[in-house]
Amino acid sequence: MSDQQNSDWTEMKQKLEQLPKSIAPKNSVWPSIEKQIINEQVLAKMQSQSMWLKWSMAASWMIVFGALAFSFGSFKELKQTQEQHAQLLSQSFQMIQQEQELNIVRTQFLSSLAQSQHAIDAKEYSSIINQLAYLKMDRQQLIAQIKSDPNQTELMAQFVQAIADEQTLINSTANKIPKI
Amino acid sequence: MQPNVISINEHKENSLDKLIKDAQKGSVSSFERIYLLFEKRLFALCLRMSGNNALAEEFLQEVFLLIWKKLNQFNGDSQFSTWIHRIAVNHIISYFRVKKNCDFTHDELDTNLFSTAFDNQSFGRDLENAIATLPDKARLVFVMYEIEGLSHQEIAEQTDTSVGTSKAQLHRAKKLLQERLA
Repeated sequence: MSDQQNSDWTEMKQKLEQLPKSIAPKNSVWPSIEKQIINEQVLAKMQSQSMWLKWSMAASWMIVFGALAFSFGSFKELKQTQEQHAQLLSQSFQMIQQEQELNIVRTQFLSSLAQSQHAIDAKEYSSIINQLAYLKMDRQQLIAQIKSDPNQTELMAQFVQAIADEQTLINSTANKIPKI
Repeated sequence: MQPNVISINEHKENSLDKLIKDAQKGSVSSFERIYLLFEKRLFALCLRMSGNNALAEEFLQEVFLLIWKKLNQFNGDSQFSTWIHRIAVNHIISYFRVKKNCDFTHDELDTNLFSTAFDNQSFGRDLENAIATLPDKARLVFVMYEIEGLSHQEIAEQTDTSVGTSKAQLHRAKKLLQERLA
C-alpha cells in the first residue's frame, strides 16, 4: 500500500473501532428459539418414556420366558419323580408278590418237613432248618436295605437272587424228603 | 468507587454462572436471560459476517439453539462470552464453507441494514454497508480480523485455509472498501 492508502486506512481503522459492538435485531428470534427448545424437550421426554416402555416390555417378556422355562423345568422334574415313584411302586409290588409266593411254598415245605422229621436224620433236619432261617434272615435284611434305599438296583437284583436261592433250596430239599 | 465496580462485575459474573448452571439443568427461562444478555452482541457478529439481515437473524437463532444443545459441554474453562462467540463464528464459517461455490451476492444493497445501529453517523452506516457488500470470503476475514480481533493464524484455523490466504483476503477487503468509500 502507498503512504496515502496507509493514511486512509489508519483513518478507517479509527472509524472501525467506533463501530457499535452490539446491534439489536429488527425481529426478536427468541420466540422461535423457545418453541424449538420446548419441542426438543417434549421429544426427548417422549423418547425417554418410549425407551422406558421398551425396556419394561423387554423385562416383562424376560420374566414371562423365565417363568415358562422354570415351569417347564419343574414339570420335567415332577414327571421324572412321578415316573420314579411309579417304578418304585411297581418294584415293591413285585417284591411283595414274590415274597408272598415264596412264603406259601416255604410254609408248605416246613409243614411237610415237620411231618417227615422222624424219617430224616436229626443233623440234616437241623441243617435244613438253619439254612432256611439264614436265607430268611438275609432276605429280610435285603428288604430292609431296599426300603431305606429304593433306587439301588443291585439290591433288587440281590433280592431276586435270594428268593431264587431259597426256592431252589426248598425244591431240592423237598425232593430228598421221603413222601408220607 | 473502584471496589464497587469490581463487586458489581463479580455480581454479574456470579449471576451469569447461576443462569448457566440453571440453563444446564434445563431451565428455559434462565436460557432466555442468557439470550437477552448476548443477543445484541451476537447479532452484530452475525450481521457483519453475513452482510444480510434475514440471514443474520437465521444465524442468531441457529447459534442460540447450538448453544442450548452444547450448554452441558461448557465447563467454565474459558469465559462464557468467548465460548459462545467461538460457536457463532464456527457456525457461520461452516455455513459459508458449505456454500463456497455459491458466493453470497448483494445485488441490491439494503441501505437500512444498519439503521438500528446508527442515528446520524452516516460514515459508520456507510462503512457497515460497504463491509456488507464485500465478497463472502473477504468479508468474513475482514470482520474476524479487524472487528473481532482474531489473528490470521486463528482465522486460518477456523476457515480451514492458510495464513497467506487470510492475509490476501484481508488485503482484498481493504482495497475494495477504500474504493467503495472513496
